[in-house]
Amino acid sequence: MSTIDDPAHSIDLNLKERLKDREFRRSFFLAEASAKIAEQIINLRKRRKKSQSELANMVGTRQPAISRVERADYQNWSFNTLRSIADALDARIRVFIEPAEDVLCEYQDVPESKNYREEGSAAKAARARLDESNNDGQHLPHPLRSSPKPWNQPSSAGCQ
Amino acid sequence: MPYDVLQWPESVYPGEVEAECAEAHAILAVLIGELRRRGPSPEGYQVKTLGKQHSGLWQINLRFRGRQIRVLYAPYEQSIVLFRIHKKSSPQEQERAYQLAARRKREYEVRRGNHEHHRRPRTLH
Repeated sequence: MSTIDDPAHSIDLNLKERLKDREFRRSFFLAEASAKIAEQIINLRKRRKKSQSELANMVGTRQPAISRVERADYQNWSFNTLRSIADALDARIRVFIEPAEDVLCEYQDVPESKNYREEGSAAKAARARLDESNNDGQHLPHPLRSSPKPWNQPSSAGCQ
Repeated sequence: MPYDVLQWPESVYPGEVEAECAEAHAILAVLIGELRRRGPSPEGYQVKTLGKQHSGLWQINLRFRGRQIRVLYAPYEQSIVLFRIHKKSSPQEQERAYQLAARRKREYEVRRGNHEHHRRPRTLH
């Protein structure tokens, strides 16, 4: 299928169907987490105006180790490594362990061309439930999804 | 600003992925999502512009389970068109992939030019 203006063909990730497969799901969730971790570390390091070498010195490791963790396709990070980096950059780590059945809906009702651009209604409802359960009236950014308000940007409501 | 990620021809995704690097399908699906969300040069990915000798193609190198997966593409204003996804097995195979992707890029640009009343599209780099 092509768009009206472009002769190229659109790409159907078909995540709704593919994520039903346990192996695909396992690989996808890990790859997604790795990409988000890399993005967060790069953004935070730049925000702190540190080079990879400077961060490595702060963590007590070498620059190539930082470079590896900042690769979206690197999947062998450990919690201790991430904790050291977060500590050196004066940040907190927040971990969500979410059952697959609770998050699959986030990939299901989003029109294909809009995947990763905005949340679907089910995802918004899930977020609303999460916000309610935290009961603090503040928006909790989802660690692994894009959202209308970028989760990796400082919240205007917090830490001011 | 979100991008449209497209393919030329229609067999790139999932066709070439399933045929050549099925084990990396999930990591490629994530990459396509990141391209949609963050544009042609997403943070954390090894992006390389191949220059004029390769028709202005861009390349993303992925390492997965000790293998190198290559994605050849080009950005056009608000869209990104994938031309070839393959697992690098040898320098010769990589050169063939470059040639195939460059040929596909030229074909696509001719078609696109026809769509736009023979105005030649500009790539971003």
